[in-house]
Amino acid sequence: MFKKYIIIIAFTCGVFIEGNAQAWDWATSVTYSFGLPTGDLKDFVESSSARGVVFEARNLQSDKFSVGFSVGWQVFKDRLEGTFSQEEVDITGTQVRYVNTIPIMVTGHYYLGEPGGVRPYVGAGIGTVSSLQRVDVGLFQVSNNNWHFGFYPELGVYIPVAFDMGINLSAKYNYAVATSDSFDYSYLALSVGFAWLR
Amino acid sequence: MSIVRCNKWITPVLVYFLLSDCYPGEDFTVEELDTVSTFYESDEDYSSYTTFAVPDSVVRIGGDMDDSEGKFDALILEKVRSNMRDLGYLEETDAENNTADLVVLVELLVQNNTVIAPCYPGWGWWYWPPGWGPGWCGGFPGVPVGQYTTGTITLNMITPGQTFNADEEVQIIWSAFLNGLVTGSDASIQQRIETNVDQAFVQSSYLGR
Repeated sequence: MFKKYIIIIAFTCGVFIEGNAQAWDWATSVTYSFGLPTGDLKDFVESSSARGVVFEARNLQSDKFSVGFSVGWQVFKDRLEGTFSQEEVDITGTQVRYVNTIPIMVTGHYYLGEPGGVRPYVGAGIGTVSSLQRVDVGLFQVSNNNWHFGFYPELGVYIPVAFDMGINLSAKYNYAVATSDSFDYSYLALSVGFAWLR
Repeated sequence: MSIVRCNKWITPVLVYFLLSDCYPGEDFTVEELDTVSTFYESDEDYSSYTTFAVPDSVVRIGGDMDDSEGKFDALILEKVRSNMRDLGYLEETDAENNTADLVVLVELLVQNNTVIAPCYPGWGWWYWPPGWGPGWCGGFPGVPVGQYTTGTITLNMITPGQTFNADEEVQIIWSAFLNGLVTGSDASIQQRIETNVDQAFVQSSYLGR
């Protein structure tokens, strides 16, 4: 049943299924990412994010291990109404809160399965995260942009659908460590997209 | 061997629609752009005061105003008075001879704002050779310009019987800033003024006797 869905997706995208998928040295991928905020980020922006993308490149060092880099972008937004209090100030109005996170990571992945087949993998990324935080209240706007140290663990699977292309599914927990000017940003990113192999 | 290619346009188009903006826009009514901000002193005992007074005029603090704005002055002053009375304070009607414990000063600032839509310099990656191109609005005649007017009503509560430094300055123990767009019919502006003055007192639950 699962393979049937993959075939449908592949045909929708104009892909013709190729039977004997091959091994690869390089994989580049573009995946759509759905973000579920956690921790302090969830306190700030409760809504999940349907706006996200990850660009990634991996170089296979052996049959089981790859290194590479990834750049992501996830946009969180929430609209709130009411009175917001902090210390000796109360503000009533409509707030729109935005958080953009842009993780830029070096990555490593370990693969199960055999070359040319379905490859479940575990991986991790470590690097930096740019955060763009903005709050619009009425006619006013407050921004707070920072660079964080960040990392993520990742679980995923690569499913070959053609001799140079596959589908990449993954779940990663992005974490950007708090700075002196910002709380930490953490979210679960569920991604699906295409990978091109060479 | 089969020909295998995903349509190369799908991914960039998908990405464009998903990420059209870092700050995806929101629609607001004029009322939703109103804000009411209040500031207070946490160590102040507002219940220790008995009487209050409100000057009979709204002070203009600069900006772009004509005489027409004066038509809401009486409304603003009366709303402040009625809220203070509702909180249990007694209005001092002869404030020139009897100093009130609290005085609420009412100020108004109206400003005209002009917005010129930015023309971002664009990196012309879509043509050859790549280089700095005309930008986002380079292909359109003229530059988009918009104007809007904002108004801020400020309420400052002072204690004229007390000074806190050698220069005899009085301390502001409570402030409210009511900000929004000055647009719409007189009836609509009047309704927003009433709502927002009331809100300033509603969210200041520490006030009152």
